[in-house]
Amino acid sequence: MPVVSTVLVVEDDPTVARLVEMTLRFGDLEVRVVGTAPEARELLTEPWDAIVLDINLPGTSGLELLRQLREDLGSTTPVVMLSALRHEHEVQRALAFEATAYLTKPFSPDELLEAVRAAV
Amino acid sequence: MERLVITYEQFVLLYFAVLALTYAYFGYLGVRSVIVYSRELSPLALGDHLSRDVAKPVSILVPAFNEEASIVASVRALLSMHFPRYEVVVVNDGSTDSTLERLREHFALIEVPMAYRQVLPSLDVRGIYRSLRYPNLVVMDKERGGRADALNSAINAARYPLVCAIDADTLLDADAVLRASRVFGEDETVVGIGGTIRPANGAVIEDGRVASLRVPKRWIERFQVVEYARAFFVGRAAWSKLSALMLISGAFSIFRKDALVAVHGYWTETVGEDMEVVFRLHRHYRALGKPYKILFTPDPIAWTEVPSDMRSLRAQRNRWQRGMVETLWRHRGMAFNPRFGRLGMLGVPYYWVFEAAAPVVEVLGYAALIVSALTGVLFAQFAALFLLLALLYSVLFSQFAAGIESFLLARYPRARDRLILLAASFLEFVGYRQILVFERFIACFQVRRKAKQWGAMRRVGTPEVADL
Amino acid sequence: MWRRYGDTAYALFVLVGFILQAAALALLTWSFIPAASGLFPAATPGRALLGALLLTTTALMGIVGFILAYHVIGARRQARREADVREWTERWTEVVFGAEAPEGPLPPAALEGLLEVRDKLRGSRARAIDQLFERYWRSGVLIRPLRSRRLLKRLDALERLARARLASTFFPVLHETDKADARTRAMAIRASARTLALYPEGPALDEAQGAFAEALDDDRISTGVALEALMLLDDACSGVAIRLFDDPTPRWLRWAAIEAAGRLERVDLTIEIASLVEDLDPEIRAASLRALHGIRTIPDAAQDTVRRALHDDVDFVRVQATRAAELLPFAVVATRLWEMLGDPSWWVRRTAAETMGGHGTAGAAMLGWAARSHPDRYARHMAIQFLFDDQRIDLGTAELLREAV
Repeated sequence: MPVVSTVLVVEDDPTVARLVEMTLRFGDLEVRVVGTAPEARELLTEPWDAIVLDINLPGTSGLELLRQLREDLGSTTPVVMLSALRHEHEVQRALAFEATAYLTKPFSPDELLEAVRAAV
Repeated sequence: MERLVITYEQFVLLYFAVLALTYAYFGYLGVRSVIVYSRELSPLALGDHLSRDVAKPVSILVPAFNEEASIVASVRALLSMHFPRYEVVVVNDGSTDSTLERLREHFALIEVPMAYRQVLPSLDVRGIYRSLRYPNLVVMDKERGGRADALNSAINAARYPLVCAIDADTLLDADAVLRASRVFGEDETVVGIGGTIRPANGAVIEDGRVASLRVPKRWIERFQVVEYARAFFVGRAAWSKLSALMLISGAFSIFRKDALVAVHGYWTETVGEDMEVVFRLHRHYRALGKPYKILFTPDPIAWTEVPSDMRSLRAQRNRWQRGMVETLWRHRGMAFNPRFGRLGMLGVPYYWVFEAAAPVVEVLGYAALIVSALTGVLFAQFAALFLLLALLYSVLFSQFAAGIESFLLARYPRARDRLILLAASFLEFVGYRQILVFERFIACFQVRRKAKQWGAMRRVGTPEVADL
Repeated sequence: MWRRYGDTAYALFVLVGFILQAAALALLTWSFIPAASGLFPAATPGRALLGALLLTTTALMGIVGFILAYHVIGARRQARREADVREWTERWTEVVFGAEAPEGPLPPAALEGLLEVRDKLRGSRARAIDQLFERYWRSGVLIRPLRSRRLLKRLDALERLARARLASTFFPVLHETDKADARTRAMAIRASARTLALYPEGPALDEAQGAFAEALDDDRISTGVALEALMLLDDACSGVAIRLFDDPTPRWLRWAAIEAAGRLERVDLTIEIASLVEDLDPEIRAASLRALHGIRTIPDAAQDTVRRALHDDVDFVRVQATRAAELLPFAVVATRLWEMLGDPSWWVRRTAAETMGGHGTAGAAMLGWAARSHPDRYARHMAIQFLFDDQRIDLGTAELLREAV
């Protein structure tokens, strides 16, 4: 029996969160959505198959969460970053923390699904 | 004698009526500018500006004297702004407490030999430090020279084309710098911008940012909330629209670095260096004959802790009054001078008559009222109505500002708080205002005696006004 | 930041307040004149005073009343409107993923909801949204307010059009870039750019790109706005930028086009950009070198040109050339970089050190050697400084080296 992959989505914009959720569900993935960094932090320890992470979260930045995931928790869960920003150095920092992929907003659902499937 | 007193009272009434009318006009201008501005700077436009990384980079200058209690938190908040390229230049202005040590410890500072061009004169810099952890943090350590001097030395070391001067205890909104920098990118004639300052007292602060607004507990602080709204949303917005903005608060101001260098930086001989530099910028650019703008933009917002006891508050208002008089006096040639356009013909005279002289007029007005009441010259009814009208004017001014504030997303949300502020706009007039007016009245006569009294200590070199 | 409802009504109230104050002032002035000439007892000024009081109280009650109503009613209405839009956004999200589309005609909240979804998506599903727009609202609904006499309505319309990004609205929006009002121009340019970014392939695309490039060539537009607009074009940038590289275009716009091409990493433009490395204007030379560095590609045919740029007369051009030299084989540039460590300009020296540092082991070795034995004192210091800043040596070693030389 095929194991359904689970994905954690951390995104504060409700419209985007919903779109991401539907994209992934459409691709037969289980999805859990949270909107703030503290909520995400509590769930980071669970065994997700992939995480879709927005950089612009209110309060703590998504990059900080990524750092915590990689450095403090030592996790190798694939992370797909989602960001409205296309700054060179933001991308560099994300890649430095071993983000698996970096997508910009507005996002293409097909690209997102592909990236997540590849990561999982 | 009778007639003299009554005539003076009439004059005072007329004075305040003219003031009220101008204020109503300002209120109208203020609203109109906010209305268009809010469309122009929609979340969409701001998001685009940020995401495309076209914002001009900014050097944030933070002069600090004895700020050990809050400097680390402030700097940390500054290092996490929503802005792509910027640096934070903290100037330790000869602090006698552990400001520098705290910075050194928390930000892993190491001393670096930094070469930069000393374009503006300033007192000696003892050392420059960079942070191992935060590449965009620079700390300068220098001898005590006062705020203006500290800013001048920071300007020397700043590497970006825009500089944002703030106070060490100012809390900036995360996108305040983005909002301000955007204006410079949009219009190349803009030379300086002032944002809105609001009292942070009572607000819930998280991670160095104002998270939600609550009315402060003390009435003295509540009165200031009302005052600041008036000064910014009505006063500055209007002057900016009239192209005659004369004052940009030192707590949050952004200038083009080349503009400040062109006018030789801040004047170290005054306690009102923020107002004085704006005057000099106006003179400089007018003399050049090229189009230029100095603007107030209502939505970059900065928060500051306002004095919560009468003594500090009075000292502050005393200083502001002296600073204003010093600046006006230094640039007295601008009054009614058509060479300076609306600024010279309207703005400067307005400040002389309705800002510098206002405390004098008002205090003498109260004196006349008391005298006439005591000598039975005036009918009690007249006196009471007179005071009532003055009170209503005051409340009306405040409500113009409160109206504009209602349009902000970040307004006082609780109905209870808004009613308290409404009450504050009335109660302000019953004692608070009078005490401060009296303080400002005294200040007018202390300009010479108390010159530079708030920290500026040594003379470094004054940019000569005659050359401008 | 700002709530955008009720503000024009408030302006009206303030205007009325202003008029009332003017009346009060007139009243008081009229009573002042007799007083000055000593013609009265306290009666007339008293009545004037009462009159002024009445007028001021009216103005005050008007403003306070408005504010209270605004907070209470305004907030409620806005909350309801937002809830409606959220509902529609949810509905449209489902439609995008295959649910059945509703029956028309639809309320304004539905349009807002669709705009909301439109803004967040790209790709094939985004194109499906174009069809939804056409189905329920001809583009006319979005364009008509552009002809309104009121500035606010026009600005609001431009914002909506910026979010909608419908190809059919491109030319009407572009037309607005020629208006007298600076704000309208800036908003229209950005809206056009966003629309052009999603313009479908085909013959019309060429025409649209040409028209956009022409619209940008306007002295009234600031460089910042032009650059932002070009950046908003995303992939469509190449078609526009290429039209702006060459001479009749004013220098500031050429600069913006090259800069945008570099930042957006338009690989398809490297050859054209490389040809600009030898332009007469130093700003253009520098910008094109910077762009090549940004795209991280120097076409083979252009390697010599870039190498020659390392000897350029103008210091900021040399800086950019040095940075771009990171992309050339080390052997080709090593000697020159060594010389540039001693360049008269601090920035050139610094960049030379950085570029050397970016050339792997060979570069690092050369830097170490320079720190000890470069004939020029400033070059030695720069090498040491860079090694320290880049954390390749510690403070102690740096001090030793500095003293030794």
